[in-house]
Amino acid sequence: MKILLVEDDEHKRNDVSACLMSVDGDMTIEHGYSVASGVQMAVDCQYDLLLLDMAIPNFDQSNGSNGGRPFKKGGELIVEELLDEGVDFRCAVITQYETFNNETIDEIGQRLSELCGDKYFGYVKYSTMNEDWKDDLKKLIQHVKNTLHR
Amino acid sequence: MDRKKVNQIIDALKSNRHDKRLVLSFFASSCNYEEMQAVYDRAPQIYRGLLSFSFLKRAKLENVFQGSPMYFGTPAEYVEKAAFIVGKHASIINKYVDASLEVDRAMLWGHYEEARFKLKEIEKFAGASFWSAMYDIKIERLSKGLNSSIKLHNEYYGKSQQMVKWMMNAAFRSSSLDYSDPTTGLLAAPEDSDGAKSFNGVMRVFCFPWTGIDEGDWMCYGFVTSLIDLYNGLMLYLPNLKEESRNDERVSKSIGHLSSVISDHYLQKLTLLWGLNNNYRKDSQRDAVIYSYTSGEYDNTIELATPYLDKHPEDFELLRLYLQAMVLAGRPMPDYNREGCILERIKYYLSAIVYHKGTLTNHVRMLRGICRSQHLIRGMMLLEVMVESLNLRFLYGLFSENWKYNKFQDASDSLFYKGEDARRQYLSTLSMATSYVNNVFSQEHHQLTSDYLEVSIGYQNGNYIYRYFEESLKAGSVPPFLLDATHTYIFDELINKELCREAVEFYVKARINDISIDFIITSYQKKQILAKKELLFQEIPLEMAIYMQMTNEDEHALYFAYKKYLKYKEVKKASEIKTIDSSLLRYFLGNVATMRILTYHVLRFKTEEEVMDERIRILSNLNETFGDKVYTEEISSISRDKKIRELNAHVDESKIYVDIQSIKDNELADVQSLFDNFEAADNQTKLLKKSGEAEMVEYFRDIESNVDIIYVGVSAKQREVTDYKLDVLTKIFKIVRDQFLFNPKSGLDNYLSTRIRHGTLVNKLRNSFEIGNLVTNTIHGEYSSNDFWITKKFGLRDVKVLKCMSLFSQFSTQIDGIISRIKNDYIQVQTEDVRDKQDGCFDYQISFFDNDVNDLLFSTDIVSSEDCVDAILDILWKHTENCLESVKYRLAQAQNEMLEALKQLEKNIADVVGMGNLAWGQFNDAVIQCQSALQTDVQAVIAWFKLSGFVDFTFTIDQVISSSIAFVKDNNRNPINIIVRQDTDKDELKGEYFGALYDMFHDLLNNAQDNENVTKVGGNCIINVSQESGFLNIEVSNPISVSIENSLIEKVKKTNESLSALLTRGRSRADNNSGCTKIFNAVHNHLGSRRNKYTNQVDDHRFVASISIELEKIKAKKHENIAC
Repeated sequence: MKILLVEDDEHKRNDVSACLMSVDGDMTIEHGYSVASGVQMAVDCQYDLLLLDMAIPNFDQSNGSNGGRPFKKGGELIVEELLDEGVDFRCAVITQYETFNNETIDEIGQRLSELCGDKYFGYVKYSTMNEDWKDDLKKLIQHVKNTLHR
Repeated sequence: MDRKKVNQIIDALKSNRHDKRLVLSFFASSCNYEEMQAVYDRAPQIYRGLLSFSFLKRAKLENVFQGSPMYFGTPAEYVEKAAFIVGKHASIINKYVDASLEVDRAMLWGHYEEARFKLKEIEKFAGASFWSAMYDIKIERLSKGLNSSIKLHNEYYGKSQQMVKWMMNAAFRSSSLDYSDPTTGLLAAPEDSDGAKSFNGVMRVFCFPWTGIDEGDWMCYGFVTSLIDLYNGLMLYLPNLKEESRNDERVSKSIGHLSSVISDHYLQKLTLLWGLNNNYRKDSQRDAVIYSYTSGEYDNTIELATPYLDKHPEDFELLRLYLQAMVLAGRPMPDYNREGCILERIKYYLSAIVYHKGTLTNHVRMLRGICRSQHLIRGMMLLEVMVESLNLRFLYGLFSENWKYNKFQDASDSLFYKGEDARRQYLSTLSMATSYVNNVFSQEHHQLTSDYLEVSIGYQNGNYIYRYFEESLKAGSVPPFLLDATHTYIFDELINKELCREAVEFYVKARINDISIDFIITSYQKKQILAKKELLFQEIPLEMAIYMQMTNEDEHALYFAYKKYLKYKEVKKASEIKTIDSSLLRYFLGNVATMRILTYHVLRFKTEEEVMDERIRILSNLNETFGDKVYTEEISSISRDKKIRELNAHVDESKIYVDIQSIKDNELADVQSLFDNFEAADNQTKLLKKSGEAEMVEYFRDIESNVDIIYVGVSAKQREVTDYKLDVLTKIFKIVRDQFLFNPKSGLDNYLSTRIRHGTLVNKLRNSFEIGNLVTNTIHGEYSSNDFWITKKFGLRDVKVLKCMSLFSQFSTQIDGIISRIKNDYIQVQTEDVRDKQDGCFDYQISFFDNDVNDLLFSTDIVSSEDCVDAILDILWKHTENCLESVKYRLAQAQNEMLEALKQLEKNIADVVGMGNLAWGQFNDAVIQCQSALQTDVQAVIAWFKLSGFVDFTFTIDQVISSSIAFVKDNNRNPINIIVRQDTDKDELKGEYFGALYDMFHDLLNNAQDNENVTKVGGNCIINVSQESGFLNIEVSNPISVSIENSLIEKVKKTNESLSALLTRGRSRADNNSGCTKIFNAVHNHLGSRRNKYTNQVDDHRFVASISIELEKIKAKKHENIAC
């Protein structure tokens, strides 16, 4: 299974990657760090799943540049851009936030579901305070796998 | 009339057995107007003062809201009692009406002394009132300024009852002409609290009448105010009476009678409309102006209105007609002064509206501020309703409220009446052009007056009007003062007919032609258009993108609109669109394809720099076609931003620095003599070699292994020489090393201190915590309570407060401890001689260099002291790279510690507060944001720790200032406001001086920020840069607290005297960590000239740092203008 994980927070990225690897040792995980690299990688390559953080900067951090304005709904921007570009993709969200500019993750999930239909696999609420998210992520991956084998 | 009651009251008055206050109470609460009049007429002379409430002529302000009883009743009862009292003091009130008009006029003209004098005159004959006190505060503010009005406010405040205190406060807070506070915040009490309605009713009518005056119990407070306040309240209240109350016989009788004894134009006009009497005195001069205007004789209107307005500055309706006549007569906009007196300002903004110059919304905001600030001037309420009506841009309602507050008769008064007949009848009594009345009610032909008053009065038919306006707009015959309303009307009609495409096209075309056309579009109308957006994107993609930009649609939605048009044009970037002479395309490229929108186009642009480059390409194309300086200005601005970014990158990349050249030039005199000794010893070696004594081979047999071991050694003499050489070389090495590390002007530690430890590092690492309000600052050594989360957000009480306080305090301690460790322990230099920083990552103990020194000893490349110094410096730089790796490791460790602490804080707070707390989500968000921002910030700090590579570049003084300001703004939660005033040539300066200038500004601004953080004085930090006699004169000043001024003067004096000595002795921290020594160092030692100067002083409650820099020394030669 090939996953694109778009996440700018190194600690969270390491945590999530480790959890993904524990599901399937053969899993290939590639990393995007911003809306820009997330969109570009998804356009350039076919992934079995895009696992998107919601709050990410617009561009990758590089020398002398901090990646620009952070978008609190950066994950959603990636989805909308890919839809507009006609890219075929599956996606899920992994986020630590409760709300996004006064919207709850459920409301955003509902909208993503409307936009992507059955290509949207829901969201996982990541937390540093407990490890429940790991089970949720594993279930989500299993669900994606099942649909791949159909 | 109840005669028995009247007799009873009179008997009670005459009798000694009754408390007269109770009699008065009974009289006021139980009698109607007629009965009150009868009692008054028949009562003994001695009680007439009591019965007419003469005590309301207050001797002093303290008495207001004191003493007299209140009478609750219906609004009509209130009106008749108030009318009775006022009527009994008709002579005072009449005098007051005339005198207050003079006060109003003096205010409008800016004759404040005269206004104050007349105000005091009124107090003499009418007594004290809060009206007078409020007016006094407002006069004081405008005539003598803020401090003086604060003083006066405090005086009144100190001697007032609570209600009057609130009023004084409201008067003071609204006394500035640019008053824009939301009024509700100034109301006495929350609307839902007990009794708040009455209190707030009083506050509304007397302090914020524009918020709406409703009937209610509050009216009864009028009887405990003062004579003047009672009358003013009545006059504000009357036009706002509900129809039911207005038609009550008690009102009509009492007010009808009152208007026969009070000569107040407002009252006369109102009672005329109500049909109560006909005492209204027409003003023939005014009527002539109106007649002339409605007859379309605009030049004549102007001629007649001019002398009238000179005498009646408060007649804002006529001022409007005059200005409209000016427009219609084709006269240029008069040159009014928007900074002048109140009247000048009103004229300025009203004429800007009438001439349709600038944006209606902005002018309305300014006029609104004036009206609300000066609402005590009686004409202001008319101006307020006029302005608000214009702001609504509703053609049918432009004049609907005027009748309430216009003291003169006007056609718009007919809107008071319902039905054509009543309105027709009223209009026929006015001095207006004969055709006017018929035109008002005509539904077929349109010879409307220029302000379309007929549309409102005559309920003009929509279909005719729509066509009329459509044609008028096409013909360009809509007067400028109705452009916004007329456009809004057409747009409304198109949307009502569901012609969304036409509506969008109309909107875009109108605003492209004249961007100042100010439509009102409701959110419902916006939704209607967006519901059809897919179709509209196909049909009119360009117009839709422009419409969405003009109506401030969500940025992301606008981005997709921009993309739709790019697809339609089959291009990948906006810069590829062929720029033709089209106003729509010009607008799209200029205002839609902006940096913010291009930023979203991540498939095309991978960095902000690429976005900037694309925008520059678009602007260059536009400039080529349209040649407008607005495009070249934006190109310059973007180029400037790019330059600042590059300079900021320089700042970050030049933190690890040693001014090698300065050290070589000034600090290594001892090295040469030592090197001479070294060389002399070398010569001795040569001699020894020649004599064969240099080398000796020694053989030993290892007994155990029975193997010969051969040692190639040196002779004792030679060893002695070699040891001596090593000793000398080690000495040289240590001299160079110590200069490299500790030279107070140019060494590594100086730069670590200036560029990293002083302010920079702590701000950068603490910032993410401060933004989330997760840490607090210390006061007297203790962390202040985190009220933001504990009380404001979580709303905690009891024991939880203490627990949370402790957790937050521990967290602050922990984070500051980690940051402090990085700053004070890790980013420090140590050697075998300087051992007080044993955890310092910059560890240059000589033992690390034993091998290097040995290698140098035998190196054949070193033939001069310069070679020797260069070789040692190479070794030191290489070692520095290892030290930098050590710092990075420590920073990564520290980051993990801080993240762990953050995680623990979240858990601990969750245990106390509970995740069910309403603010838990916000706290969680703050923690996540902090977690992410901290990692970004630590990465940025890690990036500082690399060796500087010199790249030649040039810069200007404003660029280095902008870079310094950017740092202060990016790394402080509440950055100080910085104003830069520059009057210099735009000389390019040599890149080598950028660092020193940046250090200087950084430290100055950092000090100003620190001062503001502690003292919260407010005000601006001002940077003045000028040029004189070959010197750049820089002055950086910031306000200081008055309480520390004297002690600061002393400190500054001492510091000025000791800076040079402190620097030479390497005691840069002995300047109270102010950074002054570092600034002194930058100015005197790193900016090219010994003639540079730096001094500090305290002047007029400001700390002022003055710096002079010899420009010629730092200026780049023309050919040195190398891009960064």
